[in-house]
Amino acid sequence: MPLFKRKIPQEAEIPTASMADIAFLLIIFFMVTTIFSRDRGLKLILPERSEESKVKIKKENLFSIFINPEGKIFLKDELKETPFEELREKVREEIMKNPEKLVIFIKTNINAPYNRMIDVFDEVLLAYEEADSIMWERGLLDKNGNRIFDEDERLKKRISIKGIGEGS
Amino acid sequence: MKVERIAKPKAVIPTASMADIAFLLIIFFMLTTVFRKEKGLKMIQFPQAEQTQRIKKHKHLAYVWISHTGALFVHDLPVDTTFIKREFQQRVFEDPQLLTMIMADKRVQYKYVHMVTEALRSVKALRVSFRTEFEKR
Repeated sequence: MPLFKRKIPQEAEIPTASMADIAFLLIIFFMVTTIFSRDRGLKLILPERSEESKVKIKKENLFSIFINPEGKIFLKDELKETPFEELREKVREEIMKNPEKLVIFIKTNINAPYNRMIDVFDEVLLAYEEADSIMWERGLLDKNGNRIFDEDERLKKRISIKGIGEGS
Repeated sequence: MKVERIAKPKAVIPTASMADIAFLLIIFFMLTTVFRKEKGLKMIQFPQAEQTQRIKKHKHLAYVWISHTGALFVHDLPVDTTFIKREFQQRVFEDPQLLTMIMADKRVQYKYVHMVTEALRSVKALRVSFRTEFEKR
């Protein structure tokens, strides 16, 4: 019987075969917990309220759209209701008549459905898009010979909203 | 004549780099994950609009929820306009670039949305966005 057994040096090893499995397990966890951004909507800058910064808008530069409690649409001081389908075209014509200064004012009765106000707002934005592309093609210039587009080469949107009715 | 037998090559998929690929994917998902802070209201139907834009800036967002009955919620709690004024005055002060998402149900009367926008105007939280869904034609 030998007194001294020669020890065979064992190789140290980390098993890497299951590494991928661990990693994929983690992936699945993160995939399941990830929510992709749901944030989308129609952006708007509200008008300032303070008295000193009150901006006076000339009547000819103002285009009002009224929404009554039934959701019917009236333009400017017209007494006749405007059908929703004609709204975009009419707004677009107004924008193209006065693209530099026109302010579109959406005046919604407080008892009107919110959905209707969003529909009208959307139509106004679409009218701006249409006017933008038409005028871009024609290459319209202002009185001083400059293009009337901003830095992004887009027609500047001037839209304001207001609620009308009792107690507002 | 002797027929030579062609040695069949063994098909092997290298798995050594599998872990690296998986970890790369993990890192991608870790970076893009945003944990939800608010639960929000579940029964809300947003209005549809063709001009809906994606909003990228995550940091500057605040939410006001309006249910179809006109109840207001901030941070999952029912609130009134006085609270909104106080809360958003503070938030606009901390972050002038604040963008308020108005998460209103499409069935609500405009009155309640008006109450919120007026409250926001009074504290100069002027940048808002009306939450809508993409509309396809």
